[in-house]
Amino acid sequence: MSSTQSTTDGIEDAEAALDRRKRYKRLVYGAMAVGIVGYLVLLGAWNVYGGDMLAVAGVAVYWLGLVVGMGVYYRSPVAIDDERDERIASEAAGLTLTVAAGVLILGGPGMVTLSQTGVYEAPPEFAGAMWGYAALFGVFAVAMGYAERKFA
Amino acid sequence: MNNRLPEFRERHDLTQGELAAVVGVSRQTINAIERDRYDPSLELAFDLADCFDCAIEDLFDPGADGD
Repeated sequence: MSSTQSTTDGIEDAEAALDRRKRYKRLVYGAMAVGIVGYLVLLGAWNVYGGDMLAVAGVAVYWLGLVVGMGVYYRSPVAIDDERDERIASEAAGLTLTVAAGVLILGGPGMVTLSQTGVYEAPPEFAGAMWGYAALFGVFAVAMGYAERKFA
Repeated sequence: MNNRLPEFRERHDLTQGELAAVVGVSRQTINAIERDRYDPSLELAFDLADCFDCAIEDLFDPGADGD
């Protein structure tokens, strides 16, 4: 076999592997999309026709779509994302945490102090959001500990 | 980080998509590296150098400011 033929075969094999990754990626996002759209459609039908089974079925379809999607993502024989995708997701996660930290740092103590002094009572939704952000940073601390142990 | 990826790729008559397939990343990743928008991992840099049968420093140059 000539080296040109060998190179061509190598590229074809590599492209086939990349196509396989794309197929799995479509499967992941397709399953999630079916779950979300199915949930919304069944919820809409429940609002129009009633019958709690429609709502329950909507939740079941949603869970199924998300679980199948995540299952394929984590268990597929090929990596769904490449290193740049992972870097992008990591940067986006970092930015999200920065925004959440800003809201929590400013909003948390302000909410408690103003509420205690009676100057301003924040709506319960805001207090809920603050507790949600606080819980998020609790999870983040645990995740940081786990990640640090991986690289220690 | 400066790189000579387009030059090496064209010399080997490869498209971005073909090179991406050979080293197992997306075409967008190769494009981002060529435009100095993304610095590859050490593993990917080795794979690229291996693909062109050259040393990493032939492909990548940290530049005067070390970026």
